[in-house]
Amino acid sequence: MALQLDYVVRETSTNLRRNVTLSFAAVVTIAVSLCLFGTAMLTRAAVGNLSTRWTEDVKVIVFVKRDISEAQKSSLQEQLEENASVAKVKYMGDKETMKEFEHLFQSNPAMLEEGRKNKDLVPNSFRVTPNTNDPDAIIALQRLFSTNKPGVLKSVSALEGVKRLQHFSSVIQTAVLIVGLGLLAAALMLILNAIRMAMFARRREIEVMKLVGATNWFIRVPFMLEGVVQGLVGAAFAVVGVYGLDKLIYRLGSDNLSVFSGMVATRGEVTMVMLVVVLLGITIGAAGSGWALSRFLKV
Amino acid sequence: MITFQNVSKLYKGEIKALRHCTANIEKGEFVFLVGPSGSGKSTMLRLINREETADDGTLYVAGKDIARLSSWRVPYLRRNIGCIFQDYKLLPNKSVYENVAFALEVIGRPRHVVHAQVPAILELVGLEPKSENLPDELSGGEQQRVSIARAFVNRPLILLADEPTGNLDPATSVGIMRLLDRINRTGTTVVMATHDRSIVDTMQRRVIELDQGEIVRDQVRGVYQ
Repeated sequence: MALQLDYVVRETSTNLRRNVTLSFAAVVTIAVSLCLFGTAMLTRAAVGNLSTRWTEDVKVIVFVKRDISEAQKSSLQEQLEENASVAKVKYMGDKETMKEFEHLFQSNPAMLEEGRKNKDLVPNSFRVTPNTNDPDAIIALQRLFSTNKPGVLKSVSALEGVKRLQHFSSVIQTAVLIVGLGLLAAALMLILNAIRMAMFARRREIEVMKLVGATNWFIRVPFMLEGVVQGLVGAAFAVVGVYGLDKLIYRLGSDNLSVFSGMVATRGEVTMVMLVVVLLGITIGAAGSGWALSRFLKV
Repeated sequence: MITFQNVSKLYKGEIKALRHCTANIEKGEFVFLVGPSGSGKSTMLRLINREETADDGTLYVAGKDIARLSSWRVPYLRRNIGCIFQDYKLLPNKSVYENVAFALEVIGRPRHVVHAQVPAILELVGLEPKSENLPDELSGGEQQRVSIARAFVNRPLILLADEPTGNLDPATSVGIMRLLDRINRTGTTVVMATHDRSIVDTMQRRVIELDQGEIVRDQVRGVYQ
């Protein structure tokens, strides 16, 4: 049966107008909750990219004690070379270490003087290039060659900071997601009630429509559409929010001296987040009105 | 056209609204349903329209066993059945014209059909001059005429009337009955539940009397009694 377009548009807009306060509440709630979802997804993508950048040239450094014996040294070298996660091991002896030290601190004569006097400040080390970019494997490697091995002074990995940032961001993401979910549930209820009110306001029309033989879909579509429109408008605001957030992250992430360097979401990821936000908005709108229809509109 | 075969209807599992009712209403008949309040008249009408379903027995409407009708087909059944009520059930914010047109619009009739049929039916019920008025601006009799126009605009096979003169004075009621009689003469089956003794007695049509859900009388040219 032909659902006349002008009829559906007219009825849906009348419903939305009649219920303007409730519609507004529903739209704002959807917008805020979807914005939170978008934020969580975008941060996740950006932080993911950040650690990828770091892993490209990551190295685990195993500093050795000054009094390490030759046997301990070769044993360490052997163990490192045999480790499954290791691609390359390079030993930095007295000469190389001092050269690097002098290069790094050339603008700090006091530090240089101190280092030349006290060799303990400038320990020799193994420079390890892992054959994997998996942060967990790299951290495991670094932990394996820590002070529990004889002769090891300390081991560090460039990943630790990244890992901490990831952990921090995953906590934030979880919190944001929980709040977002709560708001999404609230949005669902608001849509449910908006549709219920619209149906109550139009109960006489619905009664007559049933009486003269309008099909169930004919009666339902304007209400369904009302919910979907609310979801879509909310999602549109959320998309604007995600766009703004992306610009903000980009400003932080493109500053080379900042710790956030490289923390940007790609264009594809931003588009993906926006798409998910819009789809989620439509789904919530349709679910809310569908629920209202199945509960309050017995045909 | 309408056949009740041993139909029973229970409310809340115990109160018997209809008990083993059997009756056959032919195409083009005019039938009064009479009986005290709560005797089951409205229930019979609601069963025909499939607003309710029978708990026992079989009910055929327009050749179909309507208990077996799947719910998506019910609207199509109702397009063959016009309904009028004591309280008219008009939409207060729509004009006379819009009220009648609404019935055609919501079953997807094209606009040119609506434009052609609504004025014709308003002329039939004698309300063409008031087509732009709102229901509140009309008398009770005029409002009932609008509701008849709405019920009949789609040319249904059956017209169900639940106490259509219940709120009207005797003179106005006569006018409404003339209109229903005219509609009946076009071949439309009319089933009317009523308390109005004088109408039933003057019309001299078939009378089915109900008492406590049972058919106690079925007379071809009956009176109210």
